[in-house]
Amino acid sequence: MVLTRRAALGAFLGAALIGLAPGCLPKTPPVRAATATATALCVVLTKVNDGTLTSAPASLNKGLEEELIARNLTPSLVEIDAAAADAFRARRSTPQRVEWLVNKRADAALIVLVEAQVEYYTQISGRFRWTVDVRVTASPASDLSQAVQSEFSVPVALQYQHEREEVALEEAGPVIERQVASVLDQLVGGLSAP
Amino acid sequence: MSESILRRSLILSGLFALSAASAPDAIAGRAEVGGYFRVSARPDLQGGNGRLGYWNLYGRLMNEGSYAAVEMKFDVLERQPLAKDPWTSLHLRIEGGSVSNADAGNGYLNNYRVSQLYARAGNVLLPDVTWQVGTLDMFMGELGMYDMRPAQIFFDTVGLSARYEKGPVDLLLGVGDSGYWQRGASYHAMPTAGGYLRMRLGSHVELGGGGQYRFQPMTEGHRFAPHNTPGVAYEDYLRQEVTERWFEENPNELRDFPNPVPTSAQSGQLIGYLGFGGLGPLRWNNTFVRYEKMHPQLSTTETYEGTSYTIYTNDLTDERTMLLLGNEMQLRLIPQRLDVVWAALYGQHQDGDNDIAPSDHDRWYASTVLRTQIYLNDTVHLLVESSVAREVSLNGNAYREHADSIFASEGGLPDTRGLEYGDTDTRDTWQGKTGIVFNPLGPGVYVRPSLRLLYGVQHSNQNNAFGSAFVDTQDQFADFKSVERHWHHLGSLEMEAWF
Repeated sequence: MVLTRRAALGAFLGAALIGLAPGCLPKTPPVRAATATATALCVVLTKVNDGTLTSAPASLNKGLEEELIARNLTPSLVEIDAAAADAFRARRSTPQRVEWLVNKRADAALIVLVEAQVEYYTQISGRFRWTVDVRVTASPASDLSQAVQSEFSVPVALQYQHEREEVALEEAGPVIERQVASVLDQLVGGLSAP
Repeated sequence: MSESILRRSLILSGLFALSAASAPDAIAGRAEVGGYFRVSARPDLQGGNGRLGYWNLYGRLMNEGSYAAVEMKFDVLERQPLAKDPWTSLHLRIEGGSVSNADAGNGYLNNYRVSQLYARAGNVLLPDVTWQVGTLDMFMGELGMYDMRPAQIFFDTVGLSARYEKGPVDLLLGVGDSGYWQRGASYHAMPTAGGYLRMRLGSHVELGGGGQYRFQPMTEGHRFAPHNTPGVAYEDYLRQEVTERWFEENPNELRDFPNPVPTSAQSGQLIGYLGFGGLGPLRWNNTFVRYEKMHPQLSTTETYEGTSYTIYTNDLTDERTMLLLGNEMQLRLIPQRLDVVWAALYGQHQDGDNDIAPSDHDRWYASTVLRTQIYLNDTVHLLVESSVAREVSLNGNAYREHADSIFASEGGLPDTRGLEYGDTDTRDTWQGKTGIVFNPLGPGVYVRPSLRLLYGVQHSNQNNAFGSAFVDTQDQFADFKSVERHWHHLGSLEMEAWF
């Protein structure tokens, strides 16, 4: 019995060390622009429940800005204030919104638009399940034919009933940041290709 | 061509190339799926069936088995966020507690059921109201450490509900029928009504309350309607000796066993909720209370001299109540480094009809669980959890402290007519769990998916206090002998995810 317990303990510790290993694995470096590039970043959250348009939580904006900075892009955040919300409410299609951003930030060489729509799904196994639908569009401001787009849905299971769209979007942050990073790598890599 | 014209023409040509779709709306006809999975490998070298203790009073971690739930949603009419058009979605949930190779059920579909089926619709008749037709299950939150939802209503109901949500107000009203969940194949209508009101008071406090009421009418001539068999003593009912006693006392009335007398039955629950948080390291604190009057049982069957008799038991089971009080507090002590969740639970079950035998309806229990999660890096975390619990039977002994407990009860003499069980009325349990958690999505006690490698240990004053196939007989001719064991060790490799 003693041997069995020692063997079990050894197996447990061994597996624990293996479990730690993924955290130490090297990450693939991001694709960097040749020169620092001014980039307009806009994240718009649409609450399906009441139709409100608003900015993303600060933590998500910060995470996305870090992804831009890692690629030698200089982010300039476009907040969704009342005027921007009205503009986006009037322009419901992505091309119209990108055009509005290009005009609003004439100094930006790149445009990154993240449109997130958050909708309640159901209660399941003690959680409050939401769906975050996201479309990421990144493009040179001067040539939208080179735009790169990604569309995806992120399931989010919130712990508390009072947590709503902003928290759902924040919880979806790691997935969104990863997708934005992928889109930026495609765009920046293509732009700097010989 | 000037530079500005060139720029504008490039933009316009690019806009045509961009997806012409509108912002990422829900799509009409879109089918979506969400759900919950939990599966584990827990080979138990001490002979248990893969759970550390008997139930999740000691914390859900390592005390629950495999589980899968999948809910499909179909958008018949998509919800347009910037318009107030009617919308409708259909939902179907299938769930159950078995996965192939992970438990005794081996994942066979007879372990699963269609637990939810409903249609939701909005912007119909009233603004800000969501209508739901079908199953109506609803809760105001969960004690995550225990996997318990005290503030839950309509779990057993199919019908219609209307939920009004605007600003700080969340009001739910519903009506329906709970007969099939409560009675199954012995269905008899059980009209149900209830609801809750949840209010957000400022940005840090929430308050809620509600309830549900069930009524089962008297229906003469319906064998599944509530009835009472007259003249039944509770002890005879417990011992399954009602018919034997009656025929002893009425030897000349062999064909005249008393007919059942129709009656009505009612039950229900009151729920309460207080939430507060967003204050310093306190992320949120949930307090739930539930007071429930259980629905009376229909009947029991006895066989006497080859003939089966149905004993109707409404009045023998209509005083069962449960009080459940729970609290859970989530603290972010060192952001991105250390989170703590503390939870406590108190339950009291009372059966006003039963003063003579221990049962799950006559007991109280209290428990507390503390989970600490240390973030070694973004994805690899160290989990440490401990719980202590006490369960006390209110009607005498209910637990076996020793393998030979039969000799320790009733002054060392076995009582073959005794209604107690074991040699103590109290079960004390301590559990400790620790291990490595891999969370691909980053830090957070409740962030999922979680892949866990855990070790758990339990000490209980009850002998072999975990599910097993051990022999507990003291028969001297038994092939297998019972063994004294109060410590239980278990390793677990498991996964849990919502999606």
